[in-house]
Amino acid sequence: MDIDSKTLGRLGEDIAAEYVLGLGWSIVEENYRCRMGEIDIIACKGELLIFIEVKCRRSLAFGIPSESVTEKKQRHIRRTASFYLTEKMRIRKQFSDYRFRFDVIEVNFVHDSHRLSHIEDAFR
Amino acid sequence: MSVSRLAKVRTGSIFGLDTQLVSVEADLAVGLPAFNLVGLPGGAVRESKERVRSAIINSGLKFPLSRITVNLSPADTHKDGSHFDLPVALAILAAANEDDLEDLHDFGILSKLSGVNELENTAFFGELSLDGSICKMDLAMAMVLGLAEKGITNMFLPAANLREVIEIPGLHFYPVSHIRELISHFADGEQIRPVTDKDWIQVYALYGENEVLTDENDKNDRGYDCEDFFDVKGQESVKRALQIAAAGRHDISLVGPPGIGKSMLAKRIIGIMPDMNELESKEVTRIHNIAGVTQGQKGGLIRKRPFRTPHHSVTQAALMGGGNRLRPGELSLAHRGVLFLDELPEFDRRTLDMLRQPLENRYIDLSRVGFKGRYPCSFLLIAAMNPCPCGYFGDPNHECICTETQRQKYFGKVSGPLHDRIDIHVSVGAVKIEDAEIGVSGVSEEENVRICSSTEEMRAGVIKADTAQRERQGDVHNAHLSVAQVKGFCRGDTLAEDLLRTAYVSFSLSMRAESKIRKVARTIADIEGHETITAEDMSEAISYNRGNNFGRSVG
Repeated sequence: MDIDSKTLGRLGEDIAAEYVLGLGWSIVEENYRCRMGEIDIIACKGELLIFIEVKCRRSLAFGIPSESVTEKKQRHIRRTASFYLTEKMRIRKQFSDYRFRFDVIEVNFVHDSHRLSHIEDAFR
Repeated sequence: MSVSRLAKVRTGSIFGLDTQLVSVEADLAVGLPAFNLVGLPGGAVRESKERVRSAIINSGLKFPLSRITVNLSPADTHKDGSHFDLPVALAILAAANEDDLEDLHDFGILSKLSGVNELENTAFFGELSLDGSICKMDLAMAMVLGLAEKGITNMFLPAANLREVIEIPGLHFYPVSHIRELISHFADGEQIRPVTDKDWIQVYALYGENEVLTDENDKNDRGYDCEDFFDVKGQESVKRALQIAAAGRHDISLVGPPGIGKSMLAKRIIGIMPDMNELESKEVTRIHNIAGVTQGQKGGLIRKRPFRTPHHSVTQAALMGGGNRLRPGELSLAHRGVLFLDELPEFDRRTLDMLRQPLENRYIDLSRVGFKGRYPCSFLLIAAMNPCPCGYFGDPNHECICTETQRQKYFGKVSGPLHDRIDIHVSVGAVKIEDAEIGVSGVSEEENVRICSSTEEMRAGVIKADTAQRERQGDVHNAHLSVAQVKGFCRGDTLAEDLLRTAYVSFSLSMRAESKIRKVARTIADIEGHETITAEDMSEAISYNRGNNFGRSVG
């Protein structure tokens, strides 16, 4: 249990990506970064584009992971998402008819296994 | 898929005493999900966002995943109240398409909400609870009456409010107790059956809390339950003055020592006044509803004329109306009824002087930041007071212990101009032992009736005068006649005119006093059934002008 938090984060994102593919969604972007911030996973389900924030925790002593998606973090994600969309729509005329949603996937590492929970439409 | 989806439904917003028609427009646009509410929403309206979202989700629907903008138009007036929840929710659902509402099928509904947009004469109001049920709202009566005035004929309202408003004729009410019922109504599912005032029996049975409408209850509502004047012994002259006051709506002051029944007399005046007509009843109900004052438990229109007795510690705002919501004050609550000011000199002098303008105009103009409103206050003023601080000045059986200075200070509180605006002044004296029926056992029934008039007898006189006034001058009472009308209607015969001229000279009356005497004389003549004012009517009227002088020396 002595992996550092960065490695843990990557591990969590991999687990989440696997889960998303398992749902039958396609992944448009992973670890999208721009000067506004980053979005862990951008997935696509029909005409619905989903921005996913992945949160990992080793213990619940500091609250459940989804609680750490604060208002401030939400604002960041929204801003990043709108930056992403402007870019895509302007250059490739993509996603113009899509609906958009923000999800949170939390990964709890308990001992050697992990538990995953998915909050659809977590914030707006 | 269209880019933007739009829907518009109607509701109302209470604004002073007025109800404004408000359009709730919802626009669902493509973009990152957001929910904006614009159009100057007040605190409770802003919070409706959260209630609407939860209510829609908890009734099993999806909250549309788009950029939602809700506008309350006209956008430049401030709106308050929780009743915007229902129209906001409906507008959003109506603007949404099948994609947004994929779970409609769970209700057995196949089409999207249609026909909401074309509803011109229909308004919606109600507060949502988080589970989607619709709560009872305040001000439902004011809302219904106000919207009906604006031409709305169909109203979707909380089922819990139905009983309160059912007796308003000419309207179709659609009681809603859960937002699901509303959705299914517009999505061609199960329909909500409209009810009208003719269905009141069923409505009372459904929502009546086991209260059966018996004769007894009806009687209470009509105001006949008022205590009888027959209980007040030996004050025949004061009762006569009160009858005249009630018949012509003349403001009256009663001056007398403590414990002789001034309050007792005043309280009984409602019983002799004619019933309110439908229009007056609606006016009064609306004012009381907006002020948050209700008479009785069961709601419905107020039939009984209001009798307001503000305590003498009343503040100016409580009397005139005010506060940031501009609630009507005691003066407006007494509209079409009686304002009884007991212990008049104990009131704050400035508060009393504020009465002057409303007494004359019979409305109050209030203006606050962002709002100006005219509140009606056509009431009958009954002022009661003692003749001096100890109460016994001029009483033959007690000695007054007040000094001249004390007395002057006491009356100084009631300003001359206010005194001048009161039509009838009477002194209330101690009751004679013969009249008091103390230790008397064998008074025969007929004799008793002869010396003590009852509410029923007095009421007959008032109604007679009321009819006479209506036939002559329409809806105006004698006390409110214009100068020209006084000239035209309040003429006496030769003897009466002679008498008035003599009085005018010897008492050095003011012009206002003269016209007041004429008006009172007209009312007396109406009660007596005289076509023109006789000398007797005139002399009685003059006596009421001179009846008490608030301790001032007679001129």
